[in-house]
Amino acid sequence: MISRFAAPVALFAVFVGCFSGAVRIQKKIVDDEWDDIEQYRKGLYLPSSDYVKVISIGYDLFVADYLWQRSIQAYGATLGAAHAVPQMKAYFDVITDLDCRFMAVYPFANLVLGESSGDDEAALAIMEKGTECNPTEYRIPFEAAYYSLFHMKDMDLARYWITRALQAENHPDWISSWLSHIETKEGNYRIAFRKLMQDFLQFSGKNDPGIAGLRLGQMRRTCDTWYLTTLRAKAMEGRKADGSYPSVAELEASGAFLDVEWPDFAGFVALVIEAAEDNRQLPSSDEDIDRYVERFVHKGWQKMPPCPRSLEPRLAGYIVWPGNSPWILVDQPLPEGYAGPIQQVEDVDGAESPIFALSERDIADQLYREFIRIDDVIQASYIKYGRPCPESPADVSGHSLGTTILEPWGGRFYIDPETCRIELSTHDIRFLANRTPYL
Amino acid sequence: MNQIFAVATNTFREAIRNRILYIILVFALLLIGASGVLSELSIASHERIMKDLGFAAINLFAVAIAVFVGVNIVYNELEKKTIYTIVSKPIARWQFLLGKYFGLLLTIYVNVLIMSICFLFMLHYDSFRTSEESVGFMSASAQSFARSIVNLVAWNQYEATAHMMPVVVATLIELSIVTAFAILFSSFSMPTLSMIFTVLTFIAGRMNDDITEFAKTIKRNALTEGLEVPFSYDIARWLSYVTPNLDLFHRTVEEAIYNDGKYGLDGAAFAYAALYTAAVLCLAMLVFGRRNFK
Repeated sequence: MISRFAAPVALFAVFVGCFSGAVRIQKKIVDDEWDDIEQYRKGLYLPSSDYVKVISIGYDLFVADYLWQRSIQAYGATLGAAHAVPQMKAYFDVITDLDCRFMAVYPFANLVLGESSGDDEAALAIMEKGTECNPTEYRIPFEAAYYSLFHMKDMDLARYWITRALQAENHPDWISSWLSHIETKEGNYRIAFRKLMQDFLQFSGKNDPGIAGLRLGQMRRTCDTWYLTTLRAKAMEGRKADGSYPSVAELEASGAFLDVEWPDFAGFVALVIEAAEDNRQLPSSDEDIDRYVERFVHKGWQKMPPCPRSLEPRLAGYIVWPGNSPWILVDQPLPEGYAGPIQQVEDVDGAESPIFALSERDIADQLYREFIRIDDVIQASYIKYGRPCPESPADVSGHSLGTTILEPWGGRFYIDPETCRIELSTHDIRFLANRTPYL
Repeated sequence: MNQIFAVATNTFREAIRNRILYIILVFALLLIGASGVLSELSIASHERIMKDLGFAAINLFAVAIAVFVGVNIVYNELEKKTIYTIVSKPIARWQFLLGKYFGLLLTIYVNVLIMSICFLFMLHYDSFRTSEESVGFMSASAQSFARSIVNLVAWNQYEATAHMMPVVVATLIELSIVTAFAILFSSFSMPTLSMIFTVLTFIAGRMNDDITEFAKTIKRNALTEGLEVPFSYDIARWLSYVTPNLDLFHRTVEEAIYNDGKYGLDGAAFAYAALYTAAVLCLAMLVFGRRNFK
């Protein structure tokens, strides 16, 4: 009886002994590695793409897809942790070596290596690789330009990438405006103005009113920035002993603008209108544009030429900044989370300040648009259907989807229960909206 | 010709009774079906992942069928001694082998056809699923299936599956070479060895470009260092000529994915595949003709 069961039992005992030993060893391995993030790093390890390419035996795209999925998961697991950056970089290197036309990888690599991890060099290296492999594709260099401009704030680099994007066959027309934008940002207004003028005339010639209109708008904005920068510099130079700033009129009287180069935007627009009325196209060769720039951008202004914005009918009837406003544009960093271009100060003589004159226009424009938008919603959604009037602007349906209402006068918006119209506590905004422009 | 046809049809009947075939097919269909789910795991390029996965599944599992079914096809006749009843009939050994080859090829092609329909169905269904107009499950499925069948004839009829069928054709051509090797190896060796040989030949074929690159590297390194080009360069170069260039056919996947409108499969590729397959089959017939069945 004993011998009958002895062999299986012994065998089972050996099995249990061996198996439990194996399990113990495995448990130790797992426990040791469980919380060790370095082990995950090893898990991300990839051999060089030369080897992966050989191992993939022709299924390069399939393997690239697999690694692409894996890279997304790895990023999710590490979320840009510094230790994982070299491995993530290896992933993108291998994927793009296996299939350098895999377009989705480049913006993702830019996000992971650049925006999340701050490794600008690695991010742009991948973009360079993608651009070389896809010379006809504008999206990769454009992505790099976006990153260089808005993340790295490196104008030269942004200019380089935009130039690369413009070399791609499929680049959209609007991309060229980025060069002007960069020049404007760098203060090279004359160059920006020239570029936009050429674009405007060329797209007008191509019968593309959409892009031509955009360029005209960009010219206007460039001129605005040009005016603002110049006015700011002159106001700083002429700051009075009591700390107040000179007004535009005072600056003009003192001849402060005589050495300033201004664009004669109104003159240029007049020329364009004249050509349109005669049904002829203005030439847009380099020589012609140089001639126009010489003609419309010059010094020797006693009075500040009309601000481009005042030329646009849509912007006629600007709100005039209230004289006792406690707001002014300052050259200080804005408080965190603040979205507007202005900052509150306690004592300002500001309404007469030329700095003020332009800075408030943007705010007023933004404010008025927001005001009108909410007013329209109330009309269309409440008054029209006889619904009870909302108690505050925040209660207006769909408001949460819009931008924050700015209240630069220090007042607040409220809804008048009598009329069910939106109003501002400090000023009659409808009255202000109908005033003539400051300049 | 009749003899070859008879052997081929019998081989086909025999092969479709093979359970391994169905297991492989089920796995292939599962993988193709799962491509829709797997593509959703990506943050972009969903369609591309579906296509890649589908193509890879069709190709990989068709090669698996060629290997697993092909290596047994001649061996079984010898093992079960049924070869004696065949060779005693008025049928030459080369006819027998050719019949086996075409029967196996037909089996593989039918499987590829089923996988392709499933793959096309997935692409069509996905296009319905992601389209703006709402289509019910049953309606989308029925329409997708109908469109898949139409696609087999009218390749570029629908945008969702345009440029897909040339890849399937390229796979079929690639498989004709791989199957020929499976028949060659099974004509003189055991199934396990045949399997290893066929798989290695497939890998070598897929690495043809790498062999060429290897040869170039040897030469470049020697010239950079001012040395005489070594003999290994000649061997590598010679190998790049004789190994089957299967990369030639697989390259079409990339072209289909990126919708280049150009396909690597020109007349030369077709001629290459036909000549290479004929050569391997000739070698197989030569070996099989001299084989002692005892």
